[in-house]
Amino acid sequence: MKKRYIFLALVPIVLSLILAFLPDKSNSIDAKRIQKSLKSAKYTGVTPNNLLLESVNSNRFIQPDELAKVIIGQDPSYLLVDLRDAVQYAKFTLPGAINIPYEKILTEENQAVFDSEAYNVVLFSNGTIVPDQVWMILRRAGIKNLKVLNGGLNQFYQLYLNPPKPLETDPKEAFENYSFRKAVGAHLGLPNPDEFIPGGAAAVQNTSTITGANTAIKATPKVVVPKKKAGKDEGC
Amino acid sequence: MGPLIPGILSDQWNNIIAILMGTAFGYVSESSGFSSSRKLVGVFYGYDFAVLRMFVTAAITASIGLLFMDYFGWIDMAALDGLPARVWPIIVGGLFMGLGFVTGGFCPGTCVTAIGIGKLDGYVFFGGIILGVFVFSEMFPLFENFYNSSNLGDVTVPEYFNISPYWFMVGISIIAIIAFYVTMLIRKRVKSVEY
Repeated sequence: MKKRYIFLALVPIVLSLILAFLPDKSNSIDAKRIQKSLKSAKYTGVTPNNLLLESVNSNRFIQPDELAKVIIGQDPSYLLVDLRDAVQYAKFTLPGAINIPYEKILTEENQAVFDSEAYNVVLFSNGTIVPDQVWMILRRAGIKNLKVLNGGLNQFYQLYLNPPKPLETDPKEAFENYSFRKAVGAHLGLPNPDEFIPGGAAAVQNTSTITGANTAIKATPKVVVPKKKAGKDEGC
Repeated sequence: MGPLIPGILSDQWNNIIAILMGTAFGYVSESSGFSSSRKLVGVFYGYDFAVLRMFVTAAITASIGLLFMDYFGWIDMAALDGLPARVWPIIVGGLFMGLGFVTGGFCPGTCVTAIGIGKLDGYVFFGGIILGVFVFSEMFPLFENFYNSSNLGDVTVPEYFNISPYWFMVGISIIAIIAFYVTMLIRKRVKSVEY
């Protein structure tokens, strides 16, 4: 056997041994194995770092005033999702909202509803804890275009049922906001806070039940075609 | 191909580098005699193991090179895509590929090399590939279920068995050298063929 062959045979073995004994592989595939294994599990969601950044960014909220404009303008690009149970949903909800109780967000058809690029999905519940949790779960599942109603339904109705009166020294915008909120309240069928209500709380109760009936018109979600998996094959 | 030396070479270079590498591969295949069917099928009859040596050497060189480049941060291994490991379909497909190799005298890459030097059988083989691809595509619904069965996902051997890729590489290198030695012994025992 020629010496050249022996030398050439030794080269790969020596090189791979060097590799095996190299220190500090933080830059290399062992460190990236977790990332790769996530990818191999057909994982399409956000990385933990980005999720953390997004979760502290106020962009993921929709403010009540913004949502009010969406509701009044009947903006078709928004899909309102009520995460409370069916009983509470039946009593009252926001106009055009659909009901997906938060226990059922991960079923297949509901995933297809969330995973539509045609809508901005607005998640809401009474408060913000449940929508925040749902936001986190769905965001981890890789769903985009999610918004959480800041303050939840409680704050939403509080804001339009009893909008904070601006002081006389406040800037003009505060007054505009106030009248806007009153107008939204009127649109939603809430009593005007400036008016005296004959009959008191009982009358308010009545009107709100009537609005409950009015708002029972639900926007049915359009047929959402689930995205096809992109197959990517290469050969020699 | 993944991004090479991220931050220095932009993505637009990927295709240019790929073409250069492909050209070099074609040149080396042709200069090592891989445009000859007699040399290629020698691996099945035991009188010439150049194919096995060349491809195994290419594989271990590429793996060691990739691991080194990865170590220095020149390539992002996580960005590299492999075929999903569909165990049984790959075994069956490999048998078909081997059958075509031994009867046709080329593998899909070397038939293009043969076309490069104007061999007629290279053209015929290439036409056969296109015909096979067409037939396969037309009949795909028939064996789509099998095609997608036993899919382990996008895993590598070290990942699947949870061993260090570096030690795996050491093992592969040693196995390769042993294989080269064994094939040399076989070749000495088989009657040499003039071609």
